Amino acid sequence: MTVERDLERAVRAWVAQGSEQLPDQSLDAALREISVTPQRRAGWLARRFPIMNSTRLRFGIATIAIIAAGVIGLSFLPGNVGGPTPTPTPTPGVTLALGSFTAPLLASGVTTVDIDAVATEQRPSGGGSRSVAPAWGSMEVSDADGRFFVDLQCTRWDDYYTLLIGGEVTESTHASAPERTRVVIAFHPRSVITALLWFEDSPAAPTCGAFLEGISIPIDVANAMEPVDGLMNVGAYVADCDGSGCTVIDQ
Amino acid sequence: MTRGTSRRDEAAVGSVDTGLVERAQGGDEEAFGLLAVPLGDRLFAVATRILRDDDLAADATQRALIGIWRDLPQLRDLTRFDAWSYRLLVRACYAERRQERRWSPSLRMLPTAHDGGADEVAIVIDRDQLDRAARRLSMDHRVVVVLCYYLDLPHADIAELLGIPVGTVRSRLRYALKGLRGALEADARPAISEAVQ
Repeated sequence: MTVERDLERAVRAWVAQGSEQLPDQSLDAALREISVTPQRRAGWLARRFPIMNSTRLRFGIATIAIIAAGVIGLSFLPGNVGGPTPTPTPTPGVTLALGSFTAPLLASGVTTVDIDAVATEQRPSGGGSRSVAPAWGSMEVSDADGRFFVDLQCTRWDDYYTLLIGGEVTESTHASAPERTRVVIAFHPRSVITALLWFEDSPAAPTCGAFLEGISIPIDVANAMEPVDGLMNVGAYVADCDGSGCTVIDQ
Repeated sequence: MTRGTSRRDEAAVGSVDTGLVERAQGGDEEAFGLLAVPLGDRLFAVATRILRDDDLAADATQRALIGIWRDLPQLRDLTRFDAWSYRLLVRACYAERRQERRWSPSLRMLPTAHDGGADEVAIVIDRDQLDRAARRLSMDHRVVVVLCYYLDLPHADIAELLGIPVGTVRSRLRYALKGLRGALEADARPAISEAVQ
């Protein structure tokens, strides 16, 4: 028993030592991220109908189902009853990623990336972590094996705060990136900005959005992300990185 | 960083201000900013003990703070805020550990020899051995050790926080202590090459 107590005492002494204050840089980074992170509200059904017996619940569900069926049915009527679907027009947006950096992203080693990606909002609201939003801009990627240009088209943040920006190769002298290949670049902006670049496997997804929605994180992504070297603006972060660490610059 | 320092000065240090939690729950970012200072420190202290790496702990804390902000409107019982925050932190620690690719041991400054005498040196060595031994524990075991011996949480609270039965908490603690003892004993044994000389 004495041995056990001694061990417990030693463990208590051991856990008592260690850092106690979150570095300001991490706190600032978290607060910047929070300023662009919408809160998840409880479902409106749960708020409006906190107490409901099963008969009323069934009746309510049936009513909702009938209304939904009616709305869906109307949209399929001939003559386009609902009117023409408006075409979304891109509006001046916010920066998703802007800057130049190098990182070992392709097989040949050091890869240089110039990116300017914009979206209508920092983080798509609604639809959870699979919510994809339109994005636009361009990216130029080069390494010892060649160079390619990407037309950026869509974006998504995953649950682990990784920013994904997808697009399509438009011009290329690089064997790994023939024209019309889908490409995604991922950024993980935390104490160190890390990045990953990869190409879509065949068969190709029908849209950029479908491509991003199908990407599973962190299993596919996080383990292969590399720290960047350069001055980068990713989401709400502006940071000067040297390949191993980043200094966050206040905006 | 100046901004961080001024926020630290503004924020009340100590137990959680439920008024701030309530305001933050309603989407008040300024309230959450004030809440985040002492909360971030508390979470970081736990994360750094679980992960034994300050950089990973900072990232886990950052991840937990963002998760707390995002999901706060869904917390019904504000008196459970502390336990709920620690639950998100533990999840973030597991996620950080999964993402870790390279083992980067933290450099530690050992105290210089002074008039503390042999006992103090012995304690330093013990802690160093414990540190090595603790690194060999699984995350499951280390989490329970930190929650029990650092936060002094009762076994039932740890069980609720981790979503596991109380019996599992007790058995993890038992195995953790057994593992630590075994690792310390192994550390204390001379290497075979030394023994045969």
